[in-house]
Amino acid sequence: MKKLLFCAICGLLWAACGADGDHSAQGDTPRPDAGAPADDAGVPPDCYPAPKTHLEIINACTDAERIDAKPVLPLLTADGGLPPLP
Amino acid sequence: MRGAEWGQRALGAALGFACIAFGLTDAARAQDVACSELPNPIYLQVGDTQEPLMKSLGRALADSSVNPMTIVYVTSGSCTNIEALYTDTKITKNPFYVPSSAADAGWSPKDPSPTCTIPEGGHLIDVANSALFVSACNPEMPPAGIKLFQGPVQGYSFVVPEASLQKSITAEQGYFVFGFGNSGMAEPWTDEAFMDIRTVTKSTLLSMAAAIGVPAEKWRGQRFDKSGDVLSALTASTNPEKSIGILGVELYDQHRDQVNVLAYRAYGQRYAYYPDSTSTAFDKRNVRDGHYVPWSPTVWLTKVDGDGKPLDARAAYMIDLILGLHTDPVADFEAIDIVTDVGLVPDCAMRVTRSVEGGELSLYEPVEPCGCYYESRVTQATPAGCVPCGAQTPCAAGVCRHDFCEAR
Repeated sequence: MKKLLFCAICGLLWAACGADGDHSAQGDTPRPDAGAPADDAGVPPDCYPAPKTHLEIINACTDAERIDAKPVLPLLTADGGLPPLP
Repeated sequence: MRGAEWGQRALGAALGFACIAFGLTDAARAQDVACSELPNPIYLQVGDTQEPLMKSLGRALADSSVNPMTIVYVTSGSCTNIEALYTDTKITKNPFYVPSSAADAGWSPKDPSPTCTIPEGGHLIDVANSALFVSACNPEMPPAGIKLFQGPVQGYSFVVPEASLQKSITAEQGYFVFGFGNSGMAEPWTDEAFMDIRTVTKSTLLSMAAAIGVPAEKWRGQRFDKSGDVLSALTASTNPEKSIGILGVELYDQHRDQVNVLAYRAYGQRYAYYPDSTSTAFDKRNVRDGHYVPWSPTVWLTKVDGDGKPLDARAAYMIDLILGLHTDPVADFEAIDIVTDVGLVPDCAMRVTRSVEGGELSLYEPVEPCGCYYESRVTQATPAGCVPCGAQTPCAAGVCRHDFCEAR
């Protein structure tokens, strides 16, 4: 039951934030729960409220305008890596 | 009819003579002023991204009643500037200088600077500027007797023409666009004829190269010597949607009506961000807090004595002003305002730092923070969370600096 409730809340949040991606609205504020430690599945948090490392700093919680960019890059390697430069 | 025609010709001739006369006067002015005869000249070789700073700071220094001096400068690539100071390469072409209000009341920093005549044999550089970490140009330690002073931060950006619909670029996208060019398949930027970049000694290219992990010499696109040439190519593009270029953020700020900055997503970053908190703001908040990654410090190089103090007193004074340090005598203008107004971020307003070009960010606490003042200056409002202060209204906590309570 708890899992069901959790999924429902996640779904509502996802819908509220817009799932289509590309250009998030201005004032896309960090969610109150953002920055929570990675869950059991190892999924990193959406943002970090108290950043310390480089990766946490660039993904720190902010109310700055942001864009969820999803470019199509056919030359990425199978594992999502970058091939050597020509 | 003939009378009208004669009159028209006479008017044309008069205008022609007037133009020639003005042209000669202008040329004569450039030729007639010897750099060495300008009041207290200081010779600099700087990146072209720093020309707005030279003009604004130069005007304030030329008009100063406490320590007047004349900034005489040439622009070139950061790596060239560093090498010039390291090897005692002289300025041999007629440089620009910044006139005082008394000498040229009509001139403003928006105008081209006049030139002066350099002495035969040239003149040594007092201060060289690099608009990125010096190690990105020359990994060796600087020669003995030369010191590097790390100054305000300069943001760099990918920009597109106003007519482009593009809003963002990721580091991976940049890797394919500029590393592979025509064959990168990173739409819409798949035509090298519309990729406007810089030559390999320029900080703009070197900084962006470090950001996306494509060495400067491997970048594909049309290489331009000047930032202004990149801007011109973008604004004149016959295919705005396929066009992309690189510019210093401070130059972008001055030409927001012609080009748009792209939000940038660094490697390992979840979202793309603008240099400012929104696409229309001027607060450089994302540069300052680390959400916008492509930036470099400006570095000011000069010759020093055994104690690390600049040999040239004017160089020392000017560098202290740019770095926001205390000067003796105290300047009769606010240097931090000049630095801020030309689009640079004073070190005291930064909350992150790095030690190499494109390197990882770490948290930073300036010795004398000025974040509240900086934001109030660029937004012309009291920033959220900042408390104004003054002689009659001391801070309950922290230190009153530039009329705001700062943490230290």
